This record gives sequence, C-alpha cells and structure tokens, in this order.
Amino acid sequence: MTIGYLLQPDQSGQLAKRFAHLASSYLDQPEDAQKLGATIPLENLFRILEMLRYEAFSDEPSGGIISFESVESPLERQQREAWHTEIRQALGEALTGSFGEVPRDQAIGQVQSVLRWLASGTNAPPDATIATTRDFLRRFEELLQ
Amino acid sequence: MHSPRGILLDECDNLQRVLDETLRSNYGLEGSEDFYTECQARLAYIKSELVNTPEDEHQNLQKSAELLQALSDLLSRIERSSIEHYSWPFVDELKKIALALCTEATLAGPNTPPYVFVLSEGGPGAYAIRPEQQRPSGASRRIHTITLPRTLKHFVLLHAILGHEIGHAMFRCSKHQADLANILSTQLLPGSSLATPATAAAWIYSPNAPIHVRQQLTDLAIRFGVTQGNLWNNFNFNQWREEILCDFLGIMTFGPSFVAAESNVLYGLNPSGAQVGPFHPPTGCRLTYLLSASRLLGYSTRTFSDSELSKSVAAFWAKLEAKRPTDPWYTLFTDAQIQAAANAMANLLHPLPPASYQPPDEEDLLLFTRQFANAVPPVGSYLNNDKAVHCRKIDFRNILEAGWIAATTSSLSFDKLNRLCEYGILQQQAVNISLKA
Repeated sequence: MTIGYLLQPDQSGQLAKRFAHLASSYLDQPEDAQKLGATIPLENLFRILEMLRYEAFSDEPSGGIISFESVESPLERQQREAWHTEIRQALGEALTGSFGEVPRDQAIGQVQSVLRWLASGTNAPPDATIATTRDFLRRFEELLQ
Repeated sequence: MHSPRGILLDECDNLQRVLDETLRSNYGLEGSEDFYTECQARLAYIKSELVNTPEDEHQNLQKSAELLQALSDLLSRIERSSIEHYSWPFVDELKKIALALCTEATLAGPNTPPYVFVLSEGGPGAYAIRPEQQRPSGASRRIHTITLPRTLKHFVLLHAILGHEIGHAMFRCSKHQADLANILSTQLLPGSSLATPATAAAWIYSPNAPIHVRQQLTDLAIRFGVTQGNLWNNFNFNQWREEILCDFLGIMTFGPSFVAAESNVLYGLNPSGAQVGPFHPPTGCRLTYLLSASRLLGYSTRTFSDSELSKSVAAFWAKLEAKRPTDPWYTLFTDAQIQAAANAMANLLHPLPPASYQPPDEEDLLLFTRQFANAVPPVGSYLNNDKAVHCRKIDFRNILEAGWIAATTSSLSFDKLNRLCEYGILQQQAVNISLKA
C-alpha cells in the first residue's frame, strides 16, 4: 500500500485553460515564448488543435498485448469518456466565434502558424492572423472552467 | 517546516539532479540530448508555474504536484532503460517502422518523429508500447516507451508481436486516427457481431458461446455483478475495437511472423484462448481472423518452385491452423470484411515505408534455410561457387519469417533459432551499410 491515495480527476480542461492563458501572454511578450518551459503550453495547444482537425480524440492508455486486470471501475470509465468533451466544445465554439465562416482546417492552420511563430521567433504571420488568434485564445480560455 | 509549495520546489531541484545523473549516462538512448532537452522543458514549465502559484492556491499546487510525479515516473523509467537488457538490433529495426508510422505535425514541422525509448521488464505479458497521451499534459514532444520482456531478451521471433503495439502508437497520432477508425467503422465492423456494443454483448452472452466463456461470464456476474446489460459499463468496447485494429496492423506490418508470435505468446498466457478480457477479445477470436487474413493476403497459400521449401512453409501454417478454434462462435468477421479492411490498411501503410510487410523472395528463403541447416545466422551474404562474397539487402522481417519456418522443421532449439535470428538481424545491418558504401 502506498502512503496515500488521491483521487486524480482528469485535469485536461484546467491545463488547456492555463495553456491558452499563457499563449495569450506570449503574444504580449513574445520573448517569454522563447523560454525553455514555454514549449509546453504551445505544443499542447498545437496538439489539441490537431486532434480537433482530425476529430481524433481517442486517447485511452494502451495496456499491452493482453490484460490481466479485472473490470474497469465506474470512475475510470467516466474519466475515459469525459476528458475531451469540454475541450472539444470550447475549441469549436472559440474557432467559430473568432474565425466566423473561415473553414475549420484553415482556421486551425492559422492558429498553428501563430503558435509556431511564437515558439521559433521566425516566419511571423500577418498582424490580422495574430489578432484573430489572440481573440481565439481569449475565447477558448473563457469557455473552459 | 516546509510549505507545500516549498516541498514541491525542493522536488524540482531533486528532479533536476536525477535528470543530470540519468541522461548523462549511457542508457542506450539514441539522442540522449533530445530527451534531456525535452525533460528540461517539462521541468522548467512546472517550476515556473510553482514559482507563480500563491501558497493558498491548493488546486493549482496539486496540479503541479501531479505533473512533477509524472515527470519523475518518466525519468525513473528512462533510467532503467539499458541496452544490456534487450535485443538492440531488433529494436533498431522496430524503431524505423515506429517512426514512419508515428510521425506527426508539431511546432517543429509537419513530420516530426516522436521520441522512443525501450524498457525491459517482466515476462511475456510485458510486451507493450505506451505512447504518451495526446490530451493536455506536461509534455512538449511525446515520448513513447517500448516495453520488452526482460526474460525474453534474445527471443526476437516473439518480438514480432510488437507489430500490434506499434498500431496503438499509430492510433495515437491524430492524422492516422481518423483513417484507421474509418476502416473499422466502414469496412470491418458493419454487419459483424461487433457492429455495436449491444450486438457485441449479445454475441458474448450467446447460448452458443463455448463452455469456458459461459463459465467466465457466470463468475463475472457473481463476483462483480457484470451482466449482458451492463457489460460495457465495466469492459471497454472502444478498446476492444482498437485491439482488433492493432492486430490487423500487426499482420500488415510484420506478416506471418506476427501471426506466429501472437499465437505463441497469447496462448502461452491464456491456454484456452477463451478468456473474454475487459480490454481484449478472446485469443481464439484473434487467431481466427488473423489466420483468415493470412489466407486472403496469400501468405498461407503461397507455393514455391522448391518443393522442400513449399513443404516447410505448409508445415508452418498447418501448425498455426491447428491452434484455430473449431467452434464457429470464435469467427467474428467474414472473408469479405477481412479482405476490405486489409486492402484499406495496405493503402494507408503503402506511403509510409518501411511500414508495410513485403513477402520474402524464394531465393532469400532458400538461402536462410541453408544457413539454418549449418546453424549460422540467416543473413543476405554468402559465398558463391567462386568463393566470392555476395551481399544483398534483406528486410529483418524476412529473417524472422524464415526463423519461424525453421522453428517448425529444424532440429535446432527455439532458443538457438532466436539467437541465430538476432545475430542475423545484426549482421544484415552491417551488410546493408556495406551495400550503401
């Protein structure tokens, strides 16, 4: 038995909210985006946008070739099913709110180009794209609890 | 006394020391510097979050504590990765397939390979690839862990089962997930027993199910209250579908060796082949559709101009067929469903070399047969009648296939055959380098 057991609710939504907040702050101070730890929020945002682009939200841990575990607990099942619901909805709403009629793939590409610019400091996108991405990040952060 | 935040900041310093100790050593990690940079980024992020979190924001502190725990778990796994404990020639080849299948778009560019390291632990049940999850986490670039059984260090013939595990990692790449899920939902599953959770439960609880299955279901009802109505509240239907998908990816990437390896390992762990798992379908079902796929892909019906080789290959397949359950309950898919799914997967893998399995030339199999007969490693290098050395490029999966055929007909022990194949893979790497020069 370990010294303590804590119920660890999935924190994907909270992390995504924090990452959106940090990415917004990097738009105000791009030099912060070059710091070592800044790749974490930027890469995570890039990755969940890829998940949205391909509607690829299956993310269950793989247990190997055969499993000796017993049945799944209700808590495990709830967590498995629910982790992406809020993020997926917030991403969709924020993209629509910020990019309007722009096709989703294109909107995702624009946000990702801003994230890449922040991470690398090169290939700055047009100011309008940066402004729309800033709006997207604000909306996304607000939509998450 | 430390405050909670103080304890966590101390732990950041501890982790920094572990990181410096772990990745400065030779743990067989190709690109140790990349791992170091990635882990440094993770630690720097957590530390900056902690520094900016007030003492009374307990929820945020706990979030950082969890990220720290995940990072320390990762570092201790990396620390236990030692090339002395696994077959590195095999792993070198496996990584080429894994990287081709798991390359994804990241901040760095449109085709970024993941980081991969190998852990060796446990016995046959340990085979796994554990891709880091895609959901928001403390990771920048994802690090995948390949787990090989410590006890089976040299058993490269069984390692072909990792074709299945690579499938899990591929399914965790967004750009492939939609295509793979589409193959399942449009080609393989419609009209089958696994079309929906309800049809799957009805099939499992069918009165025609084998006695071993019905006994297990009775036991599950008594011990856990699991019934046909609540089966998928306790078992994982999506995981079942993914496991089947990965079996198909296994045969499409490793060919006959995968079928032989999966059959040997899974029946070794579950001799009846009837166990209905929470995450995996019964072994008997898996072997049934893999053998059907082998026939439809022409693997098990292939003949050769050399009659002895034809006999050996036929004996290999006959031995596998003998493991196929006779009860029709184990048959999940029709030939048409299997053929359609295999075709679709072949189209998906074709542009991702060297992922697709290519059957060996007869000439290569004959060469390997002669080499096994002389108890020397199977490799694409030989002396011709003039005693001149001839070399040719041969895929390591063809060496494995020859090894499995020899395992049916040769008097060499399975251990000896595995070691010869491992040496063969290593020597073939040298041959390939010489051919490039």
